[in-house]
Amino acid sequence: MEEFKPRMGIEVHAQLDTTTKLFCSCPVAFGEEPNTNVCPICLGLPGVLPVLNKRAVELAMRVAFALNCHLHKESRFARKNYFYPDLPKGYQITQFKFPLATSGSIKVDEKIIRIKRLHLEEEAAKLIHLGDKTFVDYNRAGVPLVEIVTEPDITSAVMAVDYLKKLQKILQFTGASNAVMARGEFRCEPNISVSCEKGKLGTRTEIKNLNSFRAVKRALKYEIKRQKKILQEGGTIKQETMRFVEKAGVTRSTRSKEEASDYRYFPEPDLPPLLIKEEWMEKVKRSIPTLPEERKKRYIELGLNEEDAIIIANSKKASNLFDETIQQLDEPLEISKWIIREFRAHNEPNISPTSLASLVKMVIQGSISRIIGSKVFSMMVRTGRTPEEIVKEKSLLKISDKEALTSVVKEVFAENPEEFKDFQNGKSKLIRFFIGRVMKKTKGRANPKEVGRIISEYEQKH
Amino acid sequence: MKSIDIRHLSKLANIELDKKEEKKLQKDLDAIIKHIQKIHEVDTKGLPETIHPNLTSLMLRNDKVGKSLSRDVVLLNKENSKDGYFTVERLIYDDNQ
Amino acid sequence: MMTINDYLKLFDEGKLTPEELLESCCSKIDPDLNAFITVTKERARNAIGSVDGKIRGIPVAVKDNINVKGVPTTCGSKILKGFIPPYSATVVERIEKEGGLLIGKTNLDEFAMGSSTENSHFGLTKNPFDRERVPGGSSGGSAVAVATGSAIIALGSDTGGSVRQPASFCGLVGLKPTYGRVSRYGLVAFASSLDQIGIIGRNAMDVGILLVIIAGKDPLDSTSVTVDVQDYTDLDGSLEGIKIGIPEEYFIDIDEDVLEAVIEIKEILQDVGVSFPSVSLPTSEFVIPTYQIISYAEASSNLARYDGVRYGLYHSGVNFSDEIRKTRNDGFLSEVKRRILVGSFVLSSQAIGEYYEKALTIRSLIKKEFKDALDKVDYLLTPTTPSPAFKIGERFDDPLKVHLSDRLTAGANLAGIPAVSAPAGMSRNNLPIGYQLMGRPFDEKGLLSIVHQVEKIKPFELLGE
Repeated sequence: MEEFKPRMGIEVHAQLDTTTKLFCSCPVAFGEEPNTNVCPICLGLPGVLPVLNKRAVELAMRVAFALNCHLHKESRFARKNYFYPDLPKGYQITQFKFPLATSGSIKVDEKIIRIKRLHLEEEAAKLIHLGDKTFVDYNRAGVPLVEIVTEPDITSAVMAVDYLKKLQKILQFTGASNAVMARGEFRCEPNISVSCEKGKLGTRTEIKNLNSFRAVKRALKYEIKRQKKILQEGGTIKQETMRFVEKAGVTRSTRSKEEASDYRYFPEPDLPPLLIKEEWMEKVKRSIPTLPEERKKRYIELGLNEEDAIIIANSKKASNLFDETIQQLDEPLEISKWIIREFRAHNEPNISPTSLASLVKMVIQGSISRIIGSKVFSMMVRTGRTPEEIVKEKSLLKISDKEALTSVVKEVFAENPEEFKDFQNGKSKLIRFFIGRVMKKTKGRANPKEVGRIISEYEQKH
Repeated sequence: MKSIDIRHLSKLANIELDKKEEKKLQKDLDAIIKHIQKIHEVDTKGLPETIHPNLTSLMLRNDKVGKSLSRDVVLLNKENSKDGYFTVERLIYDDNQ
Repeated sequence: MMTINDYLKLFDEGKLTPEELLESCCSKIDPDLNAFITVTKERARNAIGSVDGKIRGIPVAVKDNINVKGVPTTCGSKILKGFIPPYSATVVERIEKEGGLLIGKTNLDEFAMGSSTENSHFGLTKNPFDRERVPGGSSGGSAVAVATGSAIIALGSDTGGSVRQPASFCGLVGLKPTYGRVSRYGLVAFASSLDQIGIIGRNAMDVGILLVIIAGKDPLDSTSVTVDVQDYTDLDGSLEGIKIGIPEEYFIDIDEDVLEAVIEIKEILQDVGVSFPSVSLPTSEFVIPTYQIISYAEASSNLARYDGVRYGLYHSGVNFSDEIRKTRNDGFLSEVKRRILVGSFVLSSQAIGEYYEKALTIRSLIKKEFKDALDKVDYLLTPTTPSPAFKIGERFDDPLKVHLSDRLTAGANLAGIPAVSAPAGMSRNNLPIGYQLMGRPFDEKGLLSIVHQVEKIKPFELLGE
């Protein structure tokens, strides 16, 4: 029996995290009232012209560098012509023959996936199909997209998902995109072919409508199986676009708008070539935040264990908070614990590195206990106030004053005469019981070490 | 010269033509194509393509929010709008329906 | 001949008021000529006195493919039914800022595709010199408005000669500036890499006055350029020593009357010290097919937005495809349909290399020939059209005749260079004849200077002056 090997390439579209659209100054926003963030340009009214957003170019450049692409000093825009109500001009401004970048690479599962091309283009409007009508909202029309296309170097569904996850992180870390899949900011269209001859590609199909990594994996596994079965039975694969049907877990053939289409690409006459000078390239290169892999390495060098280093490095927010906090307080290990336990448990809230540094400092210096520290953290998140303010207002500083503690200890002894007698008679493990009572009475504010010392003095006196 | 496929073109360009018009335009188009074929007499080997007559470097815009239109104005030119949306005949029916 | 400056002087001296001038212009609007699609007299009247600019109180007509906020833009087409632009073109904003009064939107061939102003959903426009003839096109309405005194000056658009050709048919000065000199923002696109907003006026000075106002970089048009705007009203510089080339290819198959008139212009200029070396533009015979391919291709894409979804004509149907196909069939006249279909063909995957891309390389050749010629000489002199205004219906709906009168003008659009048409005289049957001057990029001042000095030596009789 011949062995059929799958080969996959993936096209990813990611929305760039700009303030305004690609060719006009309308705000990019999610979840606004329909058709409120639109202007003559993104509505494609007669007579309008596009003007390119500089920030969008810079963000796409960052991704190109992060993917080791060759960035072209001259790239051009082109029109892709087709009719659809989500396309206000009857064409999409994209890049075709002269993309922004080509020939990159990324390492996934110890294998190299080649990046074929990366280019800028504009997003289409949002369509809602309801009843017998389709509703069109042009708020999304013209939002900047970066399209990233791989060579067919992916050999399994798992590898495909690993690539997508890694690419998503890169987009997030470079600040290029929020890349939230559920919000459509990160979309992928894999193509799959199966062949038994080495080095030869079979006829490929494309899959659309993949809204989660899980869907990607399921769809690819299904499609690989489907193609293998056809080939094993001596059939041939039809080149077509498939649609993943989530409920049934199967791919189905579509007769989508593309199939009969001829996009009639031609150079966009309204936009001269985009020229990128060396200086600008260097400036953008320098502005790219470091990526997870480098960060992880650095964290291990700082003394974090690999597991913690990976956890922090893989979240842009956690990693940035960590980096900024250790600038203010040189206690990487202690800070990493607070980030892993508290920051993540609170769903990565917005807290300032200064606040986190002073909180950790208070705990290290023993002016509040770890338990109180954890409460303060919650309050910081809830109220947005500094730990100093919270501690002061709620009188949470540890009681270390010997006199004050001694009187509490005496109260506890008086309330528990039986246990006190046993303790004096040598049942020294009851010390924990008394410390606990004191802590409870002081609502956790007592310095447990000091309390222990005072209690044990009573044992020795006897 | 092969006649050009006017049905395919009218589909590409989304213009519905009735039989009579199709026949007339077929004739017109064949005549135009025959005429423009004259360009094949010119040898342009090695010449670049001119797209922009006076080439300038592309100017870029700063990422700053400008004025959008009010929705009343946006929908002003359209009768068939609903709840702030533009509407067309339904395009897609889900597989699950 | 009265210039805009003369009117301003009359205003200042209290001998004429802007209200009187506006009233006089409006009274000259002749419905039989059909120069206007929309008259905006009220808007113009309300604007009087609101700003004190370079053309305060001067009535300006605007071709109806240039947006004026709040006034319908039709492009001479049914497909824009009910469309009212929520913004003004940059040129319109600049004119209003300088006190210009927008008197109305003028008729044109649908989407500026044509050379006769016969192809309009709003009926044809007639030539005031002979009502059985066309005024030229596609800016025919603007030319007629100025020729009849219903506007002092007008804006047109020139993709292959659409400003120069009607100017020549109506005895006026028509300027197509260098590509990128004037912002296209708000001009409804026909062929983006060829379109340029132009000016039709009664004399070179008026055209220069308006050009100073509308020229210059616009942050809303990426193809507009930063090259300094010159003083286009300083037109008295000496012409002595200037070299004007006569490209022989532009003098083949030309009406005798036209030839004679242009030769006379040559002689006038020779007398003031201009020399006339001969130059050659051998690719000229390929200008029209190259122009057709490029302009039709771009048009097929530019006109794709008229789908009935967001504005304009809309026909209901059983599905989106049905809706849009019915809308576009009913909305466009046959000349536009032909160009869209041929444009779709030359861009289609099986034909793009053979036609569209090939045309782009010929465009390089044409551009280079113009450059080489203009390295040798300062300007080129040619007739504007091979013959004066032709009869209504003579070339109507004939795809092979439609470009006959673009033959001598479209080259400047392909090369992106400035060109002007100005009156050269009258034909035996009393029709205006125009001569064309082409120059180096951004030398509009030089072109207007020559026209201005020819005007002084050989004044042109305007209608009704």
